[in-house]
Amino acid sequence: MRDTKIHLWLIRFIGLIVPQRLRADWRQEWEAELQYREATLAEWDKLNWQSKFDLWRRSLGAFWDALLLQPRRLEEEMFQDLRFGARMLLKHKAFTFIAVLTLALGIGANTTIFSAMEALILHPFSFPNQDRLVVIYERMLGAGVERANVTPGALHDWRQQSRSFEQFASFNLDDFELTGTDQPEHLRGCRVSAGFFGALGAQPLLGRTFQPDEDTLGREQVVVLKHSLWERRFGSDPKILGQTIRLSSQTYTVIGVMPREFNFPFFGGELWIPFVSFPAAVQDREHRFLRVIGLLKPDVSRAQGDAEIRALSLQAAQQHPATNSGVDAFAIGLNEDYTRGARMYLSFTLGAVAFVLLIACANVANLLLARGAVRQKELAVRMALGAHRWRVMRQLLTESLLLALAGGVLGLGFSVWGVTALANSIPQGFARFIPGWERLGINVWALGFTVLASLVTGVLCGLLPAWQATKADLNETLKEGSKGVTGGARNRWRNSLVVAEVALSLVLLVGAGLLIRSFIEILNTDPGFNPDNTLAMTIALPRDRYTQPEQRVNLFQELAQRAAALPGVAAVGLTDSVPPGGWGEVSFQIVGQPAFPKSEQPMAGAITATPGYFAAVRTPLRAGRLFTEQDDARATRVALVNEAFARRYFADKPVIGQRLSFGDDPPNEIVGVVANTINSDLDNAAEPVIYHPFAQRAGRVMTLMVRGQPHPSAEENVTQLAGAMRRELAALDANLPISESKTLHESYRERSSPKRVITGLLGIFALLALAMATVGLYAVMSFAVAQRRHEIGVRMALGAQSRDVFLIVVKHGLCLAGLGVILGLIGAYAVTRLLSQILYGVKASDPLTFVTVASLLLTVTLVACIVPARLATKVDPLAALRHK
Amino acid sequence: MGKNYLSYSVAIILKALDNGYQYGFDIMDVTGLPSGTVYPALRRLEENGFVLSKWEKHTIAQQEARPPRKYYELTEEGRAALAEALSRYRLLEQTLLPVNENKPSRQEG
Repeated sequence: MRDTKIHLWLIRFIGLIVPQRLRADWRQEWEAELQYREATLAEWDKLNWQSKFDLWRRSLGAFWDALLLQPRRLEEEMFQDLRFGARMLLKHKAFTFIAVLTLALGIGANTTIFSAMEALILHPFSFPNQDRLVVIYERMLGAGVERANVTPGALHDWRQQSRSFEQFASFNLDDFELTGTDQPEHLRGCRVSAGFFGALGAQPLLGRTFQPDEDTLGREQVVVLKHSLWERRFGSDPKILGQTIRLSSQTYTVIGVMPREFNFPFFGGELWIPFVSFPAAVQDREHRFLRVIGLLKPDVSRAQGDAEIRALSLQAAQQHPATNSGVDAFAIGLNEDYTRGARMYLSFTLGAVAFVLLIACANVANLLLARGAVRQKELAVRMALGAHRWRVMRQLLTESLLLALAGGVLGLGFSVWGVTALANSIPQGFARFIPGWERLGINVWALGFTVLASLVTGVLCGLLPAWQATKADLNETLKEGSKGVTGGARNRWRNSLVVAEVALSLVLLVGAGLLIRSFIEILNTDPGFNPDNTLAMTIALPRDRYTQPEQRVNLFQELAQRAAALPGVAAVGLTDSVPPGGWGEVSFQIVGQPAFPKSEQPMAGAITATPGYFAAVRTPLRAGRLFTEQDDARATRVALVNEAFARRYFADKPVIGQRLSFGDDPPNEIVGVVANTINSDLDNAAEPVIYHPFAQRAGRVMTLMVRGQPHPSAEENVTQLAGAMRRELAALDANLPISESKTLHESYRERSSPKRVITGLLGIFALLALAMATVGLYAVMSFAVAQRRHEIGVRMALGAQSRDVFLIVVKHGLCLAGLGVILGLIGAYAVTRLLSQILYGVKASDPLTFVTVASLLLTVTLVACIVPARLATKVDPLAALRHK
Repeated sequence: MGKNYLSYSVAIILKALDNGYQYGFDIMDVTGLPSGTVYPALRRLEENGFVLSKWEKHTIAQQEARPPRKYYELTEEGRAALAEALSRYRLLEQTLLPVNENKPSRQEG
């Protein structure tokens, strides 16, 4: 009759998944029903195969019944845990407050930095094709140029021969004068190949983008506007499409407006026009002025694309040795290329916040360990009454998860504030060059991250204490007056956690210390110019007027003279590059030295300046003479070089009188050496630079440098100067557009803002870590003293002096701190090397920083030990002994 | 499961209970619903206070050498819910669920 019992076996088996609390009843109900039915059928003599099958079928239906009971299992116990957990946390308000605050700081810092990472590194663009987009550079290793623009010839080769790419698009930056409206304006823009928008997959907000043949000669001139320009100059007029505007004295028809978020290629440009090239340009393998992006075919990997571009460039080097030998090319992911700067800076910050969160976890774990010790009796009683260890651990983990989730909510609040502060930390004028900056904010990704971080944090800081707390030997723990047998192990864990905290915070402090030293170094480095009290005003002459160099020289000289005559002006000069850095590059040959091959020609920074420029920005002369008014177009061609140039190319030989040649122009004689000026990234004050006199190389776009007299409210004075200068300019030529006017101070601040922000962030995180580690050590010492009250009492009863007791505690604390510092120093030595690429003037292993930080940490921890140590000396031996 | 949202199958189960079918298997027989529907429905009805479950007397079970069976009864609330459901499911009233003639009178076990 065994076969008839299959349904009962099924019920027993399915019953395993029924919540334990309900299981017995559940099984009984089913078994009784089945047995009753079976008996009835047997009685009626109807127990045949069909009815048996029906019983089995019904037993299988019990599976659904059991499955639908699952929520009760979770609900009941989880709610119990949650309710109990919340009650415990509310009962110990001080503990809860400190733990939640600690975790909130850790989680908030992480959410803030994650948000920045999400916007700036993970999703700086939202192009549909972005995974298939690469940037392609040419490279001249002989001349030390890693990323050069591309020649039209090379682009033509790739378009003809590549099999990996769907299409290539090129763009180059240009500037335009918008005229024919009330206020002429100098604008930056982009000349792009017709496929530019298509390659990116970008759609216009209004109208259309370029058609495939719109970059060929003879087509109507068309322009696509950036959203900001449309808004600012055309009042967001939806009827703008089809209207014409005057750009650089030519007429363009507006065919489209891009959506607000479209800002490619992040250089502050506000319009795109087709790049019309002459058919002969495809033979040009010398002029590198195109920036090229490629769209890979859907099934082609980035590495394949890169390999093909390299192979084609090697082929070109063989076919055109005169221009291409020593030149190769490579492709790099668009995202990777455009997020280089952000990645360099953010990766350290991300490491730093991870450390902060770890320290916060260690701190809370320590608090929980201490609470576990206090609650040992309660937990032991529960386990003695039959609670499973896992059940008690789950209860404790629920509590730590509750803490972490509360910390997450508060932390999210902190990070809303943090992200806003971060978004405002970089001046607008600079932030627009950073891809993704405008997307900075708390979004779904950040929310998800916070939830995840909270859960991980809850488990991370709760697991060890829960494990420890439930490990107790019930017999020992429940004995009256016992302090529990796991005290030793627990204390070891607490000590280890504090050592880890100290070590982690030391690494952070060293990192922050190095960055701060490096930043101070930058501030203390003589930048080679003085940004105080100086206005920089850029003027772009229209292309169709002032076509002759003399006209440009005359206009700018006249303007400079008028500026110098204004009240409150100390010095005036003109240049084509605004310090810091801002120079273009030029390749040159040294007359009298063996010529470099074309691809190995050295490059140097090139600045055009008037005689007054050096006085206006206070770049001092080191040897020879500065430019004079006599160095004009008719005079011998002259040049100045900076000290770095002199050192690199002439070493100990005399520099003055040497001659440099630039292409086919007559050579320039070096007449003087001026001080080095810092480059635009503020990380190198010794890049070689050549200066040309404005009168011999009169450009169209120049910046007027006006230094005000020393004045109590210097910046205000300079701002007033800007107004006066505008009037002078309008008096000379009312149709001249001004593009930018800002003080050198502003430029300097903008340029230094990423370093300032990163230094500030690391500084804040390091201080946070220091504070947490100190609090952690203090808590551990206080707890140790409380636990050792009895022992201290005995010692004092046996004749120990206060001093001895004090020293015992302090020694214990310093041992922990010392061990942490030693481990931290080793860690810091290993980790801070990664920082070396953003350090300036400081070695990553700078001993001064290491020693200072270590002693700072030891001092602070000493202070954290003194209070518990003093408490220990206050122990009354009688009371302590009685307490037992 | 609010009063107004009794599904048709739940209403049938209530009706079966009202007609005197008190055991899960009997309800299956008379309604034709599978066990995977009837039992979960009974549990939810009990949770919502529409039915009460009781164990039959031990003595009866012992005589038959099996565990005591569990039976279900409509509460007042359950009756109200059924009345409301009947007013919505007109067909249900006409559905000929036979009345259990030999409805045993059970005492609490």
